[in-house]
Amino acid sequence: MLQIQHQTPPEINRIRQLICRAGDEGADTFKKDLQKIVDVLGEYYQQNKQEVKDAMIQSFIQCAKLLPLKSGIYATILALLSTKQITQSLTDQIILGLLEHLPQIAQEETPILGQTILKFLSELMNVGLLNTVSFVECLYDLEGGAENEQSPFYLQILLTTIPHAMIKAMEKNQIEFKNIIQNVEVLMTKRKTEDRLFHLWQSIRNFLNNQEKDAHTQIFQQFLKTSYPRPYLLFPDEMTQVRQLRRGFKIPIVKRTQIWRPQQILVLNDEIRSQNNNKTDIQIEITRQWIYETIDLFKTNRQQIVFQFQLYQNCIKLSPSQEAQFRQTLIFTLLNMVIEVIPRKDQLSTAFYSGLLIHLSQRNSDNIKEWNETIEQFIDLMPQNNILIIEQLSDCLSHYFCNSNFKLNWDKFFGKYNPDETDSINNYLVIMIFRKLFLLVSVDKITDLVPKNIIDWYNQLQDITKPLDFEQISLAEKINSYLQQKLNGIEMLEQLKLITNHNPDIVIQTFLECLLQCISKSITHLNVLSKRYLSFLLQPNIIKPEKLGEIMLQTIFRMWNHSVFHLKVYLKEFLNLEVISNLQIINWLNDIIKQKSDNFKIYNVLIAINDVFRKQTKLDQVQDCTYENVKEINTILTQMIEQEQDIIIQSSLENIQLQILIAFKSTNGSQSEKLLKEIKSTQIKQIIMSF
Amino acid sequence: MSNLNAASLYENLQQPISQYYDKSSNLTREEYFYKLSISTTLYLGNLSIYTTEEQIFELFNRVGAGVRRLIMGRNKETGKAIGFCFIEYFNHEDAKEAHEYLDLLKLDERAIRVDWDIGYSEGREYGRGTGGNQVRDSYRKVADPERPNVQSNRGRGRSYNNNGGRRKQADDDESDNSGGGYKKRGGNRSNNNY
Repeated sequence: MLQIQHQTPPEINRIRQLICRAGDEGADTFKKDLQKIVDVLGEYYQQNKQEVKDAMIQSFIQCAKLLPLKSGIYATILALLSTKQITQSLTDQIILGLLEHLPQIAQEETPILGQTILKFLSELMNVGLLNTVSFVECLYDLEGGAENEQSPFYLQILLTTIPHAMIKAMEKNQIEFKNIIQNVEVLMTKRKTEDRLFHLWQSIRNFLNNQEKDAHTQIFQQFLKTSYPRPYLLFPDEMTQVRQLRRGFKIPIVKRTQIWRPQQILVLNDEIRSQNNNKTDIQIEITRQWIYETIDLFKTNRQQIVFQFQLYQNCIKLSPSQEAQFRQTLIFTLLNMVIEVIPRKDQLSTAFYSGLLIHLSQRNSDNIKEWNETIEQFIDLMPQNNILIIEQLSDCLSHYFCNSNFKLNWDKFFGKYNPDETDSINNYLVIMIFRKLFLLVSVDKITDLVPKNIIDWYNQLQDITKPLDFEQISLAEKINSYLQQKLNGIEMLEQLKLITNHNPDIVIQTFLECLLQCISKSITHLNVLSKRYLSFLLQPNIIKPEKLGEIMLQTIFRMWNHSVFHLKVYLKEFLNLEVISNLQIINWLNDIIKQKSDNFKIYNVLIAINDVFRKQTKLDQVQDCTYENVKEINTILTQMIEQEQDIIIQSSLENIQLQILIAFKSTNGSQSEKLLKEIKSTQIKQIIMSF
Repeated sequence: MSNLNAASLYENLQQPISQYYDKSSNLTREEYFYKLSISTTLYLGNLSIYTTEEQIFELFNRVGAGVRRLIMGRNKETGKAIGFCFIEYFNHEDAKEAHEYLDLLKLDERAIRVDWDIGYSEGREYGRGTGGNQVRDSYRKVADPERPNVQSNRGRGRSYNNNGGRRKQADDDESDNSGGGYKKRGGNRSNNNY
């Protein structure tokens, strides 16, 4: 932990800032800046104060572990320090200190620390501070770990290291390196999973295969020469004097029980993609990996994450086409993370991504048109078989459009809507985006920005702020008058008992309809009125709890099937109040699907249930998560999935099943192992075990 | 979860947790800022009086495990919304995410200010300013059609621009008086309109 600033001596603060901010001024002054840092650190080191030396060592190690963009910079500084006799031992101590952190890699939940340390070690090899033979040996360690592990934790570290190490490794240790590549080929062939590792491996393989033709190598070398990551190329003479640390090292491989899953990439943005060859550009993959690392390391602080992205753009001298590629990779990576709907432990919310996208686009306001076009390209390529993807994406984009002065291509988005295809997934996408957009901003405020035909179309849709009508109108009027009198629960019950000319179930149902109408006025009405009235209905001898739950769910569906917002809010509220249960929800869903309700209504319910289950799990507040209940829910869902022909509904059911099984694992680990044994799908088991 | 925290390396880029200190909280500054550092409650300011609870809930419920509670700021005399609210999350991490990634972004065509709060207690939902509105509306120099219409201390005839310059707009709106360099915010006491 870093000390509180005002307690730290100024020289130590200065050293810390100097090391941390190395390279931040930009590519134009790199050479001068790095030279200056080396001189200043040399001067401080010469003072021979132990706390100053310790501060230097610790700062370097911290920054090397946490700033993947600057691996090359720190390697360059250390290389330059090693060429001076007075600071050679400083370089040695820093490297040895970092090697002591290698055992920590296996203890982490994600491979990020391993990736960053190995990237730095590869740059140390590239500058000549570390022996190539030792470095390639540690790649063998990782490969061994990858072979023996159920999840691709070590494989991820290995693959993300290779692009940074491969040129030097091929140059100095070709036979061993090719051996490693062949072993990785075998591992990847066995894997058969198309995710970020798959694409990274494709790009590495294509690069290596093309190396003999030299075209890719030249492009890559060009990229390296002008790039921020490898400034040691600016010091060719000094690099010949670098003193190598003659020390072997190993990465302790520990057998890990926890599964780690790499991100899916559902939409690719390869410039050089041909149908036959599937060439994947390694530059895109390296950039993509860097984006994942930066988000992972800086996600708790928006200002700094944006700063890191700006740093990338300011410090790497990108040509216009490289800039466009970076922008596309950034947007595609962020949106791919948004639409990754299969549950992940480290999943971030859509508000995180939309907020980040907005802040980044605001700093690139000159290119806002290109930003929006890239987003449109992404949507055009989006998978068309998953409504949860639509939900996540519409959350993100509705917020983004509100903050980009509505400079979207309205015709392009609205053009996806086809009034002749009532059930099409594109229609659902358009409806979701516009519903969420016009929930975040009142249409009245932006009539001059929205085309009239869209406003007219939107006004014809069922108003999501209003429930559908009552069934028993005259009875509802009577009950509404009681509600207006603000009777308490007991008084209300007495009044309801006096209504004898209707079946008691009809009375309860109508009461719930009236209540749902009242609570729809605001969230505050929901909180106050649901607690006031629903708690008395749950008392014994009034109505059986199962019956109440069933009627409640049927009523919610009847009145609010057009509004995902209200479905989500009410399911969550009534679950919390224990008016309904998870099992009742699944049975209700089963009935809705069997009744062959309108597809869009089914989609709305599926989305709401998925959201509610996911949030229960996040809070560890899963209602009634006993073995028997979850087993029953799992059985019903499995049958529904097997019988369902519609792949859209099927994929959502699978997600809901995952959510409930994950919830069960979090709340009842030992019993969940029993249930997991009954599950046939390896993929589902892996996903659950990653939590 | 990993304990890696790269953000701590750039301490000098860190903003203070909040610019606002509520003197009526009866807490010392140390106690006050400590409470903020573990708080699960956010204050949302610069809202339009026409912005509905559903609009606020829709956006802020997208974070983490969702919103635990939403309390709208109200005029004690009229019961009407006066342009602020409290949002309570289930944990500090979710509140932090909302604070980091939703602050100064637009909702209902206004840049909303998201600030930490020590936690809701009864009465804090009421405005402390003239006529039961927020204090800052009493000192508003230019008319704002989306904020409570307060007669005292009004303006110089500049027309209000709702659209441009988010940060500047939010700063202008919040640039009122209060001693000691801290900005004024909101309210007091209780009601039942349901």
